[in-house]
Amino acid sequence: MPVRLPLLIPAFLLLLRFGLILSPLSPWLRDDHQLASPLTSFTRLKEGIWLFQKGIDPYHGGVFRHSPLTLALFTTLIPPLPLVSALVWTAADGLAAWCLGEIWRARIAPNADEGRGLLLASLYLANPYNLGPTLALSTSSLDNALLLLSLRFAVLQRPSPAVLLLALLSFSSLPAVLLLVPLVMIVLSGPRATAVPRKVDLNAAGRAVGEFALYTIAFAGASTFVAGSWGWVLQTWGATVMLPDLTPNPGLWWYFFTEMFDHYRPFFLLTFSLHPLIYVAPICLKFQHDPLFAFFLLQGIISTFKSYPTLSDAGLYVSLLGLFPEIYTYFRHPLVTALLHLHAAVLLPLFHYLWLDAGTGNANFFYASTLVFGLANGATIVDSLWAGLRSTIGEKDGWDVVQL
Amino acid sequence: MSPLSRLKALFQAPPGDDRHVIRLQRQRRIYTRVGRISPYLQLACYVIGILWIFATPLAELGKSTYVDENALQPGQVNTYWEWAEVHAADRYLEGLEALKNSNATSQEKAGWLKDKFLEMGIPSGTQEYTFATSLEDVHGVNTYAFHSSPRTSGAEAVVVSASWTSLTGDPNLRGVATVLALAGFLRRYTHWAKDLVFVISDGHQDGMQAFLSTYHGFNPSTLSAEPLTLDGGVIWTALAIDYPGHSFSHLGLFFEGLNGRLPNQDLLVCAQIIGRWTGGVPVILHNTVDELRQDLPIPQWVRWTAAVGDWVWKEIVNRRAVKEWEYRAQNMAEQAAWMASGRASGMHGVFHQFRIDAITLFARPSMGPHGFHSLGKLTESLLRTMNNLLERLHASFFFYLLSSPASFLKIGSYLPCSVLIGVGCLIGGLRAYVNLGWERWYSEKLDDTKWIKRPRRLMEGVGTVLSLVCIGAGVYAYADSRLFAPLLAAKSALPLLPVVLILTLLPPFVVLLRPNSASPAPLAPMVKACMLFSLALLITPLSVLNFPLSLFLALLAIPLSLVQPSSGILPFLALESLNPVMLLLLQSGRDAIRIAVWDWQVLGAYALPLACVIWLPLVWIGQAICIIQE
Repeated sequence: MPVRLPLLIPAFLLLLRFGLILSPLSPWLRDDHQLASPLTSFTRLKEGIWLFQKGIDPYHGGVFRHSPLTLALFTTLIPPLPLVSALVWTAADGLAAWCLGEIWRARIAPNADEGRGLLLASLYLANPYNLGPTLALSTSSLDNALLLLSLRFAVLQRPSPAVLLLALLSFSSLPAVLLLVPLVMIVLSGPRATAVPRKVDLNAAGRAVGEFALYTIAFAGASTFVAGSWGWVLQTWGATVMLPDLTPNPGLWWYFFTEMFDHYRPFFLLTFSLHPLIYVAPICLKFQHDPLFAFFLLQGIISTFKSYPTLSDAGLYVSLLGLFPEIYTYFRHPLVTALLHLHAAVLLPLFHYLWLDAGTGNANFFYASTLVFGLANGATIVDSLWAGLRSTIGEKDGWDVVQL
Repeated sequence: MSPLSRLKALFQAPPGDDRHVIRLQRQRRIYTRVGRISPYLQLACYVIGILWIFATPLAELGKSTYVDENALQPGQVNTYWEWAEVHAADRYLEGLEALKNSNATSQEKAGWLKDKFLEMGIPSGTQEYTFATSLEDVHGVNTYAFHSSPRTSGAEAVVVSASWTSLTGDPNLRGVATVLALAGFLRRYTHWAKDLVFVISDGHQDGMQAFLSTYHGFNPSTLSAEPLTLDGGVIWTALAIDYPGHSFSHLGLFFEGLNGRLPNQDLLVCAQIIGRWTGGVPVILHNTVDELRQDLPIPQWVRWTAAVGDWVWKEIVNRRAVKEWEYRAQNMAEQAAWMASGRASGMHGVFHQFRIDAITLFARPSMGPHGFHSLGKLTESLLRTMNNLLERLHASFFFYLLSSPASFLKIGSYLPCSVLIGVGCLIGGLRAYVNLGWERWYSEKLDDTKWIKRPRRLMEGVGTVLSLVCIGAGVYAYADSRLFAPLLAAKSALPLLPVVLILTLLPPFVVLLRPNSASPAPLAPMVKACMLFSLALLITPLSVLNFPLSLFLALLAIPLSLVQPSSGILPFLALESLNPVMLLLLQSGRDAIRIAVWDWQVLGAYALPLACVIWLPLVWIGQAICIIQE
């Protein structure tokens, strides 16, 4: 079999991250707030494993917030040794990149893929937003791989594995539950955009949702079995909603809640938690003709507004953008968005350094840079929403679309 | 039309049209207007930015310094340093002078110092270190002594230090004697809540760099040093005492650290207050005496203007406000020069990288009137003030430009200079980028021109910028190597001539190697847009990290953004004047580069890599824009 030369690029990128994970760079990055949140940090995972193996309930006390399933996996199958972790995280990124390529191939089928699948996979691997968390061994990279794998099964129209993986994902990243609706839509009507929304088989949809509920209950039972009590619910799912740990991250929640008077907390927690819910119905209704696009938009909204994001959430969203080249010409302000992202990528580590290393700045600096980052993500979502709607109309000379 | 009604007209549409058409038309009008004024906007950003630089020394923009941290209470204690301590310092000085006259080695000097500390009853040790640089090996021996805090567990420490070599280059004998006498004196008191660490470091900055690296467990690859035998708490603050002369007239404060880092302003303000009121010594910034310049006499060639010249000289040139402006500008320029070059102005500069606030107290050499008595007294009081700290210095400013010992500029008053220029670059880049996407198309059939879209060559533009940066990185690897550095010591520029010629002329021509493109869109403006974007991306964030450096890049950006695409060989040659490689032709320039190599390999000051990876490629990109003929 002839060696396909372009394959060397992702191979090189995978080898690079394997080497870098084993280098001293990885321990140095491991506790970086931008790369690992309290829910995904490798240091906390190791702490939890240690407590668990010593027979102490890791969910007692506020350090460990990984799901019991992750805990079970890392205490049995995957020991947290450097070489094993390097292999697992490299493999997860490789899997995620491969899934992305597969999803693209499924979307343009029956047309042949002209190497763009490989390009998308390489871009996923080369994206610093994805590379950083992997080097820090943040479990958010594994979450990304799970999500893409689930999406891959969905575009192949295999409901059971898709919802199974999504149920699994919802244990490490609760907001992923919102993606169930577009995921089921993809399973039912395929990954391609159609001129008119297809007739949806409601029974099949109900079956998929029921299956999801079943898996969730089963996993919850397994989690309780592993953890020995229901204590994990408040520490993992509860943390996503109630934000007990105000460790800084690139998201929009932490600073807001450090500044909050305690008697306002419940109200704003409710508002912040429910806020992403309101997008689900309108986006899924508007994009019935292209559920994959609805999935993409919703993923962007979740990654912008979730309570403990890391850079890999934004990285996944930016990578998914590559699946929709048809909308590129309709972007209204691509340059502004790109520059916002560039500025955010420079300002986030810079202000993080000024605040926590140099000690010359303060929390407001880093907060300001997270706002720039939020703005960049927001601009990406708004512009892709416009372009996605606009691309369905097409061009006509001398005509201009004012409103969609 | 009044400006207000013009503004209204911009948003109002001719009556009688559809709502959407009105909206579209309004949008178009605003876009056109923004496009039309953007060159003026860019120019305005540049002009205001430059004018702002000249406005920064104005008294109106400044603010008086004040102590922000209430715990410090500077100058509120009785001091006990008296003539007996001065006598002790004189005895130590005799010993030190004997060592100097006998040409003692570092090892002997350190041994002598260690004995003195041990005689006082303070645990002491020596540390031998070697920095392997590509110029020469830097070798020395440090002496240190740890006096544990008698009052608390000693979780924190204060460093009192002197280097063997003063920042003037002379031996710092009196500084060392002061530290020795202080050690013997301070250990007699029980009010210390912090460990007192006395360090006599060898060399100027290298000894302290070795000591602090080892103390904090850092092992730079160039350093091999003995481990420390004693250990203390977390160092919060540090003083470096620099007293090279026989007596001194002023106390100069040196505070700029490596890579443009500054200590908390509270430390400087306390030193200023205590120096002035406890020590009774006039306090100055650096070595600049706080005197306004003398009146300038009217030169011969202005005489013929008679009354006009008299008036100009009397009312402008010799006006008090102008002289004050010059004095403040001089202080700020010195601070900016230290910060932009990334060098530390004294031995204190190596502390900042470990998050220790440190300054050098420089006794400005003079015939009098001050000596050990005032220096010891004010150091004692300053240490008592630091002893009061319950948390690290954090309250006051970390971002400031000092215009005089008692006045400063807040970040908001100086930041606009470079940020405005950065925004100007961004506007220029955006305009160039937008323009590149459109092409005027003339149809003979319709006898009409219209604008059609065309694809831009963004990837090629980014590729050009990246490849020139990569060449810069190659130059860095070369400049950092043992191959090149010894050449810098040469007295004549001749052996360096090929290097200069290659680095000034060849790299921009790498653009000729680009693959052929069928695209009708021009490349040179695209490269320029990419350059402007990278400049904006550098200047704006850098302004909070190291403001003078960002201002330097902003000033470099102005000529670069004036470069016209495909303008040929003349502007190409004119840009050579901005090329840092040209420094190799001058003796002082070669010295500066040798210092940069030394500072990078020993102290980790960024000047050398930044010059190679940012400054050089920027000039090359400007030159490439001139020679790309597409």
